[in-house]
Amino acid sequence: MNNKLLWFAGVLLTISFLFPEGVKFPNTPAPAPAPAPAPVPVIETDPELLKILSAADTADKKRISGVYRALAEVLTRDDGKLVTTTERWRTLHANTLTLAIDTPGKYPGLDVAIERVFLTTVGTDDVLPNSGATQMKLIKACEIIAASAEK
Amino acid sequence: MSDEQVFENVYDVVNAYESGFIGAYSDTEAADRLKEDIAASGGQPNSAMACKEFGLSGSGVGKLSLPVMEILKLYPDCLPGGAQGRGDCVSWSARNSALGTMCCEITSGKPDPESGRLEGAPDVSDAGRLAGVLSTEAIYNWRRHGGDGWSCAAAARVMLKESGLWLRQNYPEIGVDFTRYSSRNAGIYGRNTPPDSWLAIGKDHLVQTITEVDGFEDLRDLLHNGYCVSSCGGESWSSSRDENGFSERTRKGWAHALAYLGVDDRPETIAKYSDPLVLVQNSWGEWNGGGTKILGTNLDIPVGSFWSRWSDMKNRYMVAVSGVNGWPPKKLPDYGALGRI
Repeated sequence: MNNKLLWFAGVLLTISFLFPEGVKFPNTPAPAPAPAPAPVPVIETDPELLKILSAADTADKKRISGVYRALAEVLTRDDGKLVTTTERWRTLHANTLTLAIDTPGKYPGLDVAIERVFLTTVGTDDVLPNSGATQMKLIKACEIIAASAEK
Repeated sequence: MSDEQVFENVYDVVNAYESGFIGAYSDTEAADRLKEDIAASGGQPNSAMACKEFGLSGSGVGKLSLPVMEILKLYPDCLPGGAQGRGDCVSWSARNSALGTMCCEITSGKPDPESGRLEGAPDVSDAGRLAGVLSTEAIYNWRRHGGDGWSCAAAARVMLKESGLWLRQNYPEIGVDFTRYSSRNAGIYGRNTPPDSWLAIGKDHLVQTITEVDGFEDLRDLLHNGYCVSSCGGESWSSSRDENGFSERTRKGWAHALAYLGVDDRPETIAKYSDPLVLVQNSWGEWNGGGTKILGTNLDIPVGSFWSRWSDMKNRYMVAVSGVNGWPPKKLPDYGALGRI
């Protein structure tokens, strides 16, 4: 019995020396390559917002970030069904800020800088249907503002 | 045509049409003149040629196409926009088809092919919205006879050349308030055409192109691309819809105009009804009842509308409004942040 075990162990050892990379059988798939590292997402920020918010309270920055992350989520979930135009988006945006921000004007120039992010990202102040490209641009503007507040 | 007749309520209008009142009639001369005018304005009067020329052929095959939802997206509850109060169904059908095309052009977000500019949804008061956004009376006053009833071809020609889209609002310059529908305002002019002051306003927002529709394939592809249709014919339908909003054709017959605002060419619909369906918008207010949910969806069809089998309506005369001279987009005062953060 012991001899048989020794023989078996010796065969395994020999194989391991002869085929240090392992034995390849005809139908064995090649091992999957190691996954490439996930690309680090480029988080776009706005330099003017960064400047205005550089000395802001952490709580205020979190509030601003939270508001705009939530607005981006609402736009994504709605998918143009209730917020059908940029005019309706303006109403939603304005009402949200009225409810969420206790001290408007605490950071001078913040409102103008946010307006500029929307105008630049959407590309026009025309009232547009909120579908396809326009919806993506509104979401992107919200994300830029949120990311700027998170820096 | 019929003598002038005013309807007090939905029972009046249904009884009149089912007793032989002629609200819509065929006019081959008007149809020929319309074709000439379309060609003269650079349009394509033939739907098969138009679909081929603009790459629309086959685009709606097997699909549920709902331009009506674009109307309701911009102007909730605007359909049916009340009920006709006289024999002016042709102007209602023309208005509904123009409204559908206008809304589809706006929500597409694409610049107008004629002007190259983006168009926006014009503001209208709540009263004007609930009365159908656009005036029917401004079209009907151009019928050029003293009685009631008209042809779809003649009405289409008027929208193309003389009196296009009029918002439902007050027009002090002509002394008429079109905010709410009025059968009286629909008959200010008849045998005599409206004066130049009307023409000046009517030409501001003319329909740009019209196409005579020939056959289901063209109808399906035009509706799929947001070009809504006005139709005239002698068919009639039941006032009871099934659970999916479908109505059977009846034997009574109406000399009537109806707008087409959707088409359902899905295989499951054809399997159930043995035919593709067309969404018909009537102008009699709340004249029918029953299911409103579109088969397999949670979407509702508007009040007064119903689905019909194509084979029940295939002999009707049809014109598609394939472009309107709309309104420039409104401007946002701001994006909502100013003074709020």
